[in-house]
Amino acid sequence: MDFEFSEEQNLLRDAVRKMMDRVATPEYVRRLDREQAYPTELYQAWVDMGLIGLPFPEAYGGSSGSVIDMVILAEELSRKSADFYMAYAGSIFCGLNVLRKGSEEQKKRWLGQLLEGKIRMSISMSEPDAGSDVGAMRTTARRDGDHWVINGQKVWATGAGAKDNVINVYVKTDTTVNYRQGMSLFLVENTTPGLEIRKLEMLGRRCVGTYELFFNDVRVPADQLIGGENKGWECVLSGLQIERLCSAAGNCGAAQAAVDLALEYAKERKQFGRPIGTNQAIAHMLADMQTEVDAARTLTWRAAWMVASGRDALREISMAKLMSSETYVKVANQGMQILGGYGYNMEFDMQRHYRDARSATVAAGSSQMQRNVIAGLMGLKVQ
Amino acid sequence: MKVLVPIKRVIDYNVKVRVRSDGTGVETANVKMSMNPFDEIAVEEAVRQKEAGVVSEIVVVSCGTTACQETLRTALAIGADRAILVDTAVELQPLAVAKLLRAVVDREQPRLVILGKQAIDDDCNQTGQMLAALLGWPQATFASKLVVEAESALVTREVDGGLETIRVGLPAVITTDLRLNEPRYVTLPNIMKAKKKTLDPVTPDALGVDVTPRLKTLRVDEPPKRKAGAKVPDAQTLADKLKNEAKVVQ
Ligand SMILES: Cc1cc2nc3c(=O)[nH]c(=O)nc-3n(C[C@H](O)[C@H](O)[C@H](O)COP(=O)(O)OP(=O)(O)OC[C@H]3O[C@@H](n4cnc5c(N)ncnc54)[C@H](O)[C@@H]3O)c2cc1C
Repeated sequence: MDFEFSEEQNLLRDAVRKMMDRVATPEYVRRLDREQAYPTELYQAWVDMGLIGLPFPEAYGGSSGSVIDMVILAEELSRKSADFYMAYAGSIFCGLNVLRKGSEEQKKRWLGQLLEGKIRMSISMSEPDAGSDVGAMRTTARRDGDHWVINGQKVWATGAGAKDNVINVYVKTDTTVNYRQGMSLFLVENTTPGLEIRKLEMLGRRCVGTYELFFNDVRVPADQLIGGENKGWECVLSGLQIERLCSAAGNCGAAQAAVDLALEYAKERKQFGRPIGTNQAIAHMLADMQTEVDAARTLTWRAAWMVASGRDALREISMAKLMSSETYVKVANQGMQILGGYGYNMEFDMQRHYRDARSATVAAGSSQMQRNVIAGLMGLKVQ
Repeated sequence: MKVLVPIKRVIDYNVKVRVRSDGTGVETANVKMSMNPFDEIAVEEAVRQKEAGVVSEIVVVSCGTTACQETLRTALAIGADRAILVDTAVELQPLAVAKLLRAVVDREQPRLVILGKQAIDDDCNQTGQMLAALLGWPQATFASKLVVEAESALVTREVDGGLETIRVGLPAVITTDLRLNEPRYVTLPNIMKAKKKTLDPVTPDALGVDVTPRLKTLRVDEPPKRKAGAKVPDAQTLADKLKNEAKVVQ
């Protein structure tokens, strides 16, 4: 048993925290949330610091960081804002797909620009009728000479409308077979003619934003098909574990931030002549909150360690995703109670956690879907 | 030109420091430690001088336990070339550190030593001055601007009432003030590169320095608790109170 981080990992955490403290100040986070504005300056700081390159090999300008490094980063970035972290996650996970499944030429073309901050990336899979049930997707691409032509509609695409964004869109290229054999991954610049993008009015995660996309005869060059025709599902699977793991780590970071806020408030806020945290009812609530965040973190670290040591960790990752997202929702909710009227006020940060947290149990695979996976691995046939 | 930058591992400036219940010092168990902020400015300045082509090699040195290696790695990640750890578990006082640094200077022969003006834990503000005296070198303390030339350095100092610019012949000792520069963020590729840079341990014995403490700490106390403030209804009441109660305005 060893829970120790390496010297470099401590350095990484310190350096990232320092940068985040300097750039993502509370005023910055509040202003962007209020204005529903993309964290452009912060993203640039990530680029400058080389964070976009973390998991990529040195040959492409990256740092060959490990899964553990990625989890550390996810936690630190999300501490300031789970919303902002989505901008990072989109670029990294889409980039990793290109790394794993792209041709040498594609890797050179896309990863170079991504790591230099010239482009960003986001994922788009969900459709109005295809959420948890990915196979129900109806958007298609058909070959036309050296292009593919995409038609259909996507929804809930995080960060799709950001400047210089390249959407990694999954569509059907063969509708006669099961989606696992008939889906493909395309890289589509968000300025491509025929593509209409609309930002949706959402409860939380309003800065990086959630978009709906309409594809009307969108022509995409054939060399922007990644992983080969009808090989989309393999792309999805190849990244699923690390994406869910980092999503779990992000939830842990954000949940910790909510607990920290509530704790600080409980120590400062006086009623009846003493800090409200001296009431056992409040103190125990905070003790439970921290215990649950630690439990979620421990599950996440165990899963990360398993992945890092080359083991299959589907069960552990699903548990970490389930527990961490539910915990973020729960502690943000309890945080609201501890902050009283101030929690409900838009000038205080707890309401942002309350709103941002609410999507954690839905996006990146809902809690119900995680339980389905876990139960399935326990030998239960869930209908 | 070779530069030596001594750095100290201190309790992170964000930590609320607590005095140990037995009054022997402050609580350091499970407390976040970092590089002394003034030393970070010193490392940053050395790196900028190197980037400007003035400095050719930056050696960082820290005196203390093996935990200081982490702090040295941070300095290597900012851009120092190699590191020396003077490994000792003895509680080090400014004079002992200055003596250790003199021994390191004898070995390394730098033309410039850049230190933080003080460490934020004991706030002594002595090591740089003592080192200069032991070496018989000129010193320029509280630097807010530094121009290094071949045989001398032009140093702008923050003094009471303004800025003073002095020229010191090299070799020299310089201590940094807060406004000298704003340290960069450590980049990821540089963290990875820092792993491969050399970090040599050496003991006070090997340097021939006796580090036995000369000062004895009798007791450490919490600062007195601040009394609660008072709210005033308007500016007039405030002015009255300042005049008649606090007597700070006429
Ligand atoms: C803020 C946010 C950002 C998102 N970003 C992206 C993105 O960038 N790209 C992208 O492609 N998608 C994105 N999504 C979409 C997300 O992946 C889907 O919302 C998710 O897959 C659930 O699909 P759905 O919303 O259609 O809900 P549904 O699948 O309709 O589910 C509704 C409810 O039924 C439950 N349910 C469904 N099936 C089962 C079952 N078999 N067993 C038990 N319960 C079930 C669900 O758990 C849920 O509680 C985002 C969503 C949100 C909220």
